[in-house]
Amino acid sequence: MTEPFEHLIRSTLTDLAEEAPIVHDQLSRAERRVRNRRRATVTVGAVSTLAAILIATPLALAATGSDEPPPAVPSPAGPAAVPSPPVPTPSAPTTVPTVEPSPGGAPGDPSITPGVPGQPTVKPSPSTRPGLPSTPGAPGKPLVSPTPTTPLGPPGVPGRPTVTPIPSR
Amino acid sequence: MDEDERARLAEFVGSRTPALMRVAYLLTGDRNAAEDLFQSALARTIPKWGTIRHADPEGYLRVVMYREQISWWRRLRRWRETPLNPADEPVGGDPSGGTDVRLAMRAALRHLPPTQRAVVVLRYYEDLPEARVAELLGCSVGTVRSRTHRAVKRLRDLLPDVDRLEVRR
Repeated sequence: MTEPFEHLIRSTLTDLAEEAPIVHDQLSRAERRVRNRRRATVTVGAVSTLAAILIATPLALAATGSDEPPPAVPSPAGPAAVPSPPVPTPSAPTTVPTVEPSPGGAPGDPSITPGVPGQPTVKPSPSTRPGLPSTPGAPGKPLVSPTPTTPLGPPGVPGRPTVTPIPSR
Repeated sequence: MDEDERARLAEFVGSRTPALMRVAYLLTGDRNAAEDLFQSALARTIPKWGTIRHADPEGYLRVVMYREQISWWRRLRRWRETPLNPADEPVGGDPSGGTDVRLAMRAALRHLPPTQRAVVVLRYYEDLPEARVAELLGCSVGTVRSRTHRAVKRLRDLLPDVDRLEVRR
């Protein structure tokens, strides 16, 4: 039963194929279609790129700015003060050598030892900047302890005056 | 594309257009749609001409036509019913040797969906084996078999006097 039916399909298709339209100059029309398609592709690509840039640029900027810490909360007391950048101060002036010469001491009391001159007690203050988080574990620089040029006299004895000779002309 | 290649392309198009238009007409069932399908396939072939001209340009163009016809985008663009010619309408009994059955078969072929119609054209007009049809359409052999079976079943359903046809054969 399928054989005659398939034969009918074949013969009908053959008849139909003979009725195909006769066309001319298909190449120029196809080339025009190629140009239009290429132009449309370029236009769509450019518009897509522009749209992607317009959409992605604000998102990228927002993502980049989120890495920084949030801004400080303004004080409700008054207008926001302009934060001045901390001035780096050298650590040398901050170290005030505290020399505690023992004044004389009690005579006859051998238990009291006089302060050792030349070894001032330095109280180093940590040089942390106010308002900025300090980095933990970063020790400050060792402070330079000035040594007095002139040795101090014995406790209770005033130092000898330094006489500077002035040459006479 | 230089002048030499363009001359070869023009020669190829001029010599193969009638045969390719027959296939396009069988695939679409409409003169205007056939011309549009052929131009569209040719427009896709022209940019590749430099690489396929030494191989099998006609085979490439045919494959483009087959796949273009069954593509989803093309179906979406041409979502309309193919108008029937008055001569394609089913007619009553005709004692003149099966003309009525042929006309009914022609009308039934127009009612096939593009995928089934392409399989019918490739199997019964081009006389291609199932494996080759599957390769050309980019689907499996099982899909080709199922589409062929459904197409033949639908043609039988659409034909009014298929039993009389078998008696005549």
